[in-house]
Amino acid sequence: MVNQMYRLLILCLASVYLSGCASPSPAPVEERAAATVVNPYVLPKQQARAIPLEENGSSSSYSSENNDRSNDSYSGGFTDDRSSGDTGGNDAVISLLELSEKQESVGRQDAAAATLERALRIQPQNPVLWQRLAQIRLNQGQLDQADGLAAKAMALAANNPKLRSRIWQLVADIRRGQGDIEGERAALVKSSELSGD
Amino acid sequence: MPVSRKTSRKGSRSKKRPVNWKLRLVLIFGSVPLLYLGYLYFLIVHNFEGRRWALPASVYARPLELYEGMTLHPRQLINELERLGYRYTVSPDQPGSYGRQDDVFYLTTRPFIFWDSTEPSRQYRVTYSGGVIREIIILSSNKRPGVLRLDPVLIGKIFPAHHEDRILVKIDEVPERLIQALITSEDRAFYDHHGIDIRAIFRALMVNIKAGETLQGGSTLTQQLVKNYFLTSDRTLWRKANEAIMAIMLELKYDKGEILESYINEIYLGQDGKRAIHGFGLASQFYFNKPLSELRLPEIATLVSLVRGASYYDPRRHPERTLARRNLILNLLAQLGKIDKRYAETAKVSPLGVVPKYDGLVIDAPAFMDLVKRQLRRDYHPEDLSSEGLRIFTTFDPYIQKVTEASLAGRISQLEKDFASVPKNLEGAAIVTDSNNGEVLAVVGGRNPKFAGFNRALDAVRQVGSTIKPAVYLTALSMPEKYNLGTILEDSPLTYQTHDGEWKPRNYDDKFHGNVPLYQALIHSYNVPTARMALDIGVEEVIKMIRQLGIRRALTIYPSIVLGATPLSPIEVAQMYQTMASGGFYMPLRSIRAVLDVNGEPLSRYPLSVERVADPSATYLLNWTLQKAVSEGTGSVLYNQIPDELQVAGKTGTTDDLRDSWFAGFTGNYLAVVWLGMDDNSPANLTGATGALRVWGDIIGKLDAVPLVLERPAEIENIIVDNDTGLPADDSCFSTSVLPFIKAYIPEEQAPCAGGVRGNVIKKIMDWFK
Repeated sequence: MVNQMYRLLILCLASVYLSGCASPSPAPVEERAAATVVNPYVLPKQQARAIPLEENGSSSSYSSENNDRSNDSYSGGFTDDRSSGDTGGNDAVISLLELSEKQESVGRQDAAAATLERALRIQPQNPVLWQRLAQIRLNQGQLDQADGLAAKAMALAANNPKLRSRIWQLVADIRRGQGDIEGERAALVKSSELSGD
Repeated sequence: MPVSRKTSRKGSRSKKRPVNWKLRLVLIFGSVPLLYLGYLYFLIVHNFEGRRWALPASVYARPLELYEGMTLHPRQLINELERLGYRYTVSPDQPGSYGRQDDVFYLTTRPFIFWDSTEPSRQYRVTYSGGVIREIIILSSNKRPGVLRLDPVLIGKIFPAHHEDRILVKIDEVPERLIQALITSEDRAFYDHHGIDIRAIFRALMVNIKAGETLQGGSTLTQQLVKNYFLTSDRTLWRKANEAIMAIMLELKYDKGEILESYINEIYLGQDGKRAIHGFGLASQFYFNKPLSELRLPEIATLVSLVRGASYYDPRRHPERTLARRNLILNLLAQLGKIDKRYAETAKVSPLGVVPKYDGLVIDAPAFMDLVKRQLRRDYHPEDLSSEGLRIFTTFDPYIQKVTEASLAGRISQLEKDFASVPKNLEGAAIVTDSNNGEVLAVVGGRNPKFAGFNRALDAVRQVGSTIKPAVYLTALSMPEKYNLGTILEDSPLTYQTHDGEWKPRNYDDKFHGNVPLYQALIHSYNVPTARMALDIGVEEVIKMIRQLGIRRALTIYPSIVLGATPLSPIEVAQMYQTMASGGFYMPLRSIRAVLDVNGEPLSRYPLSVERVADPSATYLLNWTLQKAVSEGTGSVLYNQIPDELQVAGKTGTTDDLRDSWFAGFTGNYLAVVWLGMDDNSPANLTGATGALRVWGDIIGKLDAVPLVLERPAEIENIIVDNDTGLPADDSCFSTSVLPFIKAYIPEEQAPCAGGVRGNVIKKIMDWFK
């Protein structure tokens, strides 16, 4: 028994050795590659490829087609005088909203939400940002989260009936998702009351 | 049984012996070398590829985001850039460099992979005016970026047991100059030999014999790499022979690029306490506080010097040795024509430029790291944390941490000096969060913030006193049919029979104040009317509210809990106030934003989440009152320290025998909780206002706090009430106040004075003067 095991071991080791010598296998490089990409600082040369996509690619057409929209739907959060906690930065917030929509449009919902959180750090009292975040959570099927975020948006939109109407619309969608038909109807009523229809 | 087996075996063996004996001998002697080679092969291949480098997790601070309109003192921007190791220069065109001309900053950022998107390296112009960022321009396109997100400061690492630390780099990320210098200095025949370099060994031997000591080593880079895998000081010939064999094996199996990459990541280049610095990627950060790609020629030569002996050539302890070795390498490079001679001369006169140890590399904030680790331990295995190279993005703000540490330590020393009654060894803790989203910005666990022991911010569980009262009042205000801000509460002797005796709450000033409006009772923190109201509502209801505000600890149902006779930790108090600050929405305090794996792929996100737990209108009424508690009540001395425009909402807390001093409060952007007391729970002889409140003022006074402007819900209306009855009044009443009410619950009954005789009399008097 013991003999056989020794023989086996010798054979195994020898064959490993020989095979190793005979054919330098490229496999280990691949395996290691996974472990070697650790530096979060990317090389400038790699970046050079990424920049045009971000800066020129879709960006210009995107912002032009988006001009009306930012005037319309975002205005709710920006026309009011600045609330507490807000430290200016309208342009910053608009650029982050655009980035968030871009991320959302390519299915990167979590990134879109993270970008909205960046915007919220700049304008924490902007109800539009809370509303957008609620919308993303609703799209992701996180109804409880969407619910809380919509309520927060509502609490901050006290002086903006038009925006409140839109938030009630969102609440109606959430209620429908929750299977709360009664709640959905009530929210729709509130929404139309506020929109003045 | 075993005996019989043995004999039977022996029997069978003895039969075959004549045949097998020779064969066995041949086999054994013939296979031993082969076996041994196989063993060596197994060892080296296993080390080269089988072993994954255990990579510590890196913990990052929040990235600083700049935007137009942002208030950020230029000094703070410079601090951040310095922590990041950005180089100050007249031509800041390389990643990680900046320059300044008065109000205008020029900087070239480093590219960085975040959890949500990748920030490319860009050149920016940032223009200030009056402490506010007025304009940010991307120089290449002349466009405004909206937001400029810098790379985040590394604040700590979570190490594996052996404390090997490294930052892995890929061979194509390594500057060509480094490879040149390394090969020139260590192994000029690297690209030609097959693992060992006989001529180099011979040359080294001659030099060493001539000199009578070991001056040169003839080891190739491959041999050095092998040696590094099995770090032993043992220098026997046997060892050397083994290394040589393994070096040849490596060369047979892998190409030069792979071996070089492994070498660059493996080689030992320094020591930092227990932490072993491995590889050029980390050495670059450790000695120069910048990534490898940003190193200049003299810095590269310095790092290559260390290969010969990281301790002997330690540039911090023996700069003259390092300098000599560096210049030798620069000369060699010039001699071999790898670099221009004049270039070498310039490089030789430049200083070593090594940064002081710790400076900017790792920020020592053990209390915050403790919080991060506790949160991570819930979601990750300890081994993964210390070996998988995770990148943990936290909410930590280095500047606020520094301010909070200094404020706590400074004020405690001051209090000990100012008041003879304050005992020595007074301790404290502080937490600062973003009042709008629950992100924890700073945690200080004691007056010595570098001490990684008892973390009072998380673990000092102490009686909270009146800091609990907002929860009681929020419970009441959430019953608008029964309570509003004007509701008259009775402040007169109260005895409550509990199952183990009588409870007789007393006011802090030991007086009774008769009938007091609800909001006044909170502003002045009267205990008796608070207790009476809480007993009316029911202690269980109050406890339910405390839980909704975010306290997860088991609470005993006992009447005195409504006056804060319950122990909580500072972070729990912060959580409770966070829910109030966000207008009745529970937001879990978070210290981590995201965790990425070694390849930059997101593993987990800790997103902003909110849950409505209290009526926003009731919370508005509460916060309105807490603003008054600071401007007119127990917290009014705060405005000796900071401007009253900040309209802070806050509450003091003092416990029996002055054992604990608390202050919890928030502005429009920051929430902070401070606790002071003695570790052995003996009296600290401080009230909330004489102790913790001052630390709080010190902290907030140094931050860019913005006023708390409460967003008035649509359901709220301000009305005039009669101070005696709390009922709606008009100008015929003498003593009135304007208080916010929930519209639907404004009492229908008018105050007796309203529209009454007194009003008419006044009207007549006024008429006479006309």
